[in-house]
Amino acid sequence: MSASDQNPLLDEFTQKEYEFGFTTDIESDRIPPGLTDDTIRLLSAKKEEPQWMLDWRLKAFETWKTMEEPVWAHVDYTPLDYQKICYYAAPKSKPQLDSLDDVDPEMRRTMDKLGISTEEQKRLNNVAVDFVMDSVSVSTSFKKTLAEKGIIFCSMGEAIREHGKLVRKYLGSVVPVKDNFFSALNSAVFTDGSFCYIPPGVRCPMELSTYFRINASGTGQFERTLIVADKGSYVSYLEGCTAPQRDENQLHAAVVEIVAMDESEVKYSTVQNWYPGDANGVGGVYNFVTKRGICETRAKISWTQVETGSAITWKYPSCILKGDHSIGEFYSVAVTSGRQQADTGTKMIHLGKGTHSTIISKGISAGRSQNSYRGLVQMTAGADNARNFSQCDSLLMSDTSGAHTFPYIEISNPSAKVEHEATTSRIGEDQMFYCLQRGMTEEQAIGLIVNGYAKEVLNKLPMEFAVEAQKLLAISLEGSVG
Amino acid sequence: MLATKEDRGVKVAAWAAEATGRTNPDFAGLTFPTSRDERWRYTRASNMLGRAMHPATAPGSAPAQRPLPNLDAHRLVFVDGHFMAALSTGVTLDGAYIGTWGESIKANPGLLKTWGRGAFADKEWFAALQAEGSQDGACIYVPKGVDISSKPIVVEHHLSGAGIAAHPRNIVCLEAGAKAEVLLWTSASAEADGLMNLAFDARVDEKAELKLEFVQDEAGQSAHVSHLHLTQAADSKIEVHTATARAHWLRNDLHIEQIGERANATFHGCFAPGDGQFTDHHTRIDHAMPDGTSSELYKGLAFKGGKAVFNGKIKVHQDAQRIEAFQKNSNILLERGATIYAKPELEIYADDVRCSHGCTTGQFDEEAVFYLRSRGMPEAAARRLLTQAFMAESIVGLRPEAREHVEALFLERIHA
Repeated sequence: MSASDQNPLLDEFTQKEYEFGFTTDIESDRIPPGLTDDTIRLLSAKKEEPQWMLDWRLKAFETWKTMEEPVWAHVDYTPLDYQKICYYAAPKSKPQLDSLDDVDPEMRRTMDKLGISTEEQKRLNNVAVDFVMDSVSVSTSFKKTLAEKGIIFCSMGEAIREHGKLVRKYLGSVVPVKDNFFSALNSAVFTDGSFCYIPPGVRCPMELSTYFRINASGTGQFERTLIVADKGSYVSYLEGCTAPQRDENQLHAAVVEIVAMDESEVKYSTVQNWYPGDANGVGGVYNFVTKRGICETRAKISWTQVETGSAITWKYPSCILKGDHSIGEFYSVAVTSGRQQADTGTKMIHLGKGTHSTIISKGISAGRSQNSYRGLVQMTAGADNARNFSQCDSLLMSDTSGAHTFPYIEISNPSAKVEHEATTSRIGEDQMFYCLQRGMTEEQAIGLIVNGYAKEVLNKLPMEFAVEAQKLLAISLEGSVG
Repeated sequence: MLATKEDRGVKVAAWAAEATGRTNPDFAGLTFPTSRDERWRYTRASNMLGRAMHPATAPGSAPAQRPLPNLDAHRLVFVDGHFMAALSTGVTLDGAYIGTWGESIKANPGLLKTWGRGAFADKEWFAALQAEGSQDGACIYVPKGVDISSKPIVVEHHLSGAGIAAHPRNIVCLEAGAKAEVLLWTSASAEADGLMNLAFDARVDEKAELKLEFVQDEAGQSAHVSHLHLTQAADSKIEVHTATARAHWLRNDLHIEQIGERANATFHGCFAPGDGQFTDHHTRIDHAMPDGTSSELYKGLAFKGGKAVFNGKIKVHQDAQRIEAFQKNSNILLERGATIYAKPELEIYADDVRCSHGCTTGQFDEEAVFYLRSRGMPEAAARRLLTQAFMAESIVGLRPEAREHVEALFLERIHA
């Protein structure tokens, strides 16, 4: 019996066009495709970077050239030609703005279409938005409020120019250049991103957020985010993204680094909705991301992600629990449909004594998609009394999709405790029957069950973000799950 | 860089030629496994290359103490890859054949074609080595409807001394409705430092039932690599109970393929590496047809300086609906300096399935130890009792004689 016999709505869902597929017509300043030393020099010069940054990039490029693209992930795609990618595209007129009113009206309309009106965010949610379109920040708000507390929140480009000492100290300290193929590439060619520094003892008064968009066709986007939370500070950082519809594959190879010093806490939430490609798997974004945080004594890093987009996702937000009694958390909902392929999970490296980590991963596979969880829990010899709990559940929505679990558990300490459990199932007929006989439609019933299934993770999202996450989840599974 | 790779290739080829006794062993393009191969991520086989070993031209002496001497069983004894007729009791009974692979292919060369080089030979370097160096082993054939399970068949493989590589090949074929119980027992003398590279292929037809107990009790410093491949047809039942009681360096590959509907497989295992020892259990079950069930349980203890790997994979193929597959792996690290690597995997391509795996690693509950001590039990005895309780679930499928033997070896180590 095919999926469509069981639920005609599934077909509707898999054939659904990408809602956010539109292109903003803004003149781009771009350099020709291809990657050489000269590309990097040009890119660095355009961004008015100091010499040390250029040297760092060139060294990273040398390293990248010696590396091979990883093939171990459970995904299948046509390899990219890295010489055909354009490594820099910036909106031509780069406005220096204090207020959102000065933003290019065209770009403002883009935001409106995305349903993330910045004024509304500002007014209702007290959120400072660092809006990134095509690699360069064009609008930053609430800067003054943050500055009063000593918080630095700006684009990476600005941070390199204005806060060179801080950036130089921490850039590449959590994700070294040669960590992997994509981190090396990013280190060589990253265009922009966000930088955030929270001084000691400061609790950031608002959620910090960035919206990413890939815009110009054929443009790779290489974001670099660095968050440094000094001793005893707290910050909640939100990242969300949507991308317009394109026929050729676009590469997104971002690097996010978090430094959580003693007794600080960083909460990093992501909603990812890059263009997944059409029903035949044509187009779509390749999302190869390296995200990692390091926790000092009694620090805490919490990753929450809602992954609904991208043709290929290769992403493992990780925590290095270096300090004693530090905590790492990972909460994830990954939805794949159409011909999407996701290989995502986390790494929890326990180095310190009494370190704790929690992993909750919920995968939902529909259409002809493949959804894999891949996670590492490592208890090193010094991790006395360390604890981990992992739960990875998969929900299959069609008989043509796949759900896979690849956990790696490495224990070298006799006082460490690790528990891992994973289940795979589909929506129970008894659950459906129960809902239907209470008068719900099939769509409402599936919606209810799926929302309940993902609730553990959705609950971890900040209030301001939960609305959008639910909206995205609803859009992603519209037709098959309300 | 390239030169080193080539040098290594030459070194491996020379070693393999000596270990198989063939001038140009064919590896079908496979290369010696390194930590870059996902299936060998935690397993270092390269130490073996430092040791010269070759197949024995004549068998050494069989162990003085034979396994389970009081068990009423058919026995097939092999030492260093050679059949020991004097110690064996192969028979033909009710049309069933209990004999050797060597005799069987002499009588019926067609068998070689039917069974080929073994299921792993084009995928794993060590399996190719096995196929190239292939030596004598058991051949058990049970015709349609015949039940010989009342008397088990004990197949012993022994490594007698230093510098010996043995590559025994074992074949089991159960026709529709047939039943048999096989106890595979490997051992090695204290001087042994070579390699036991064993292949076991089984075909279990419709409604047939096979129970396989696999006890590995190897003294000495030898390495052990085994390739177990079992296919099962509709309504058949397979039980595999693996107990790695003693091993210096060991890698087990167990692969069960369900190619018929409603097949049922149970496979349990246990391991307890001590100082300087290494065990690696890789299991895989392929549910290729609907309505199959499987239940897997592996338990491990690791002592100071011991390393263990468990990798269990459940694969549910597309259209293999209504599969129920369960896997559990529990490990205990007894002392500092012990390491466990676990990788329980699920790969699922059908939606109407119930599959789960659970994996835990921890230590004995100190409160339980305290409870027993407060009742007047010495600490060592308390820990022995808890070890026994922990391992019990994984060895309960072994026949009592084998279970006692395995348990005693585990407890001996706790005592020390």
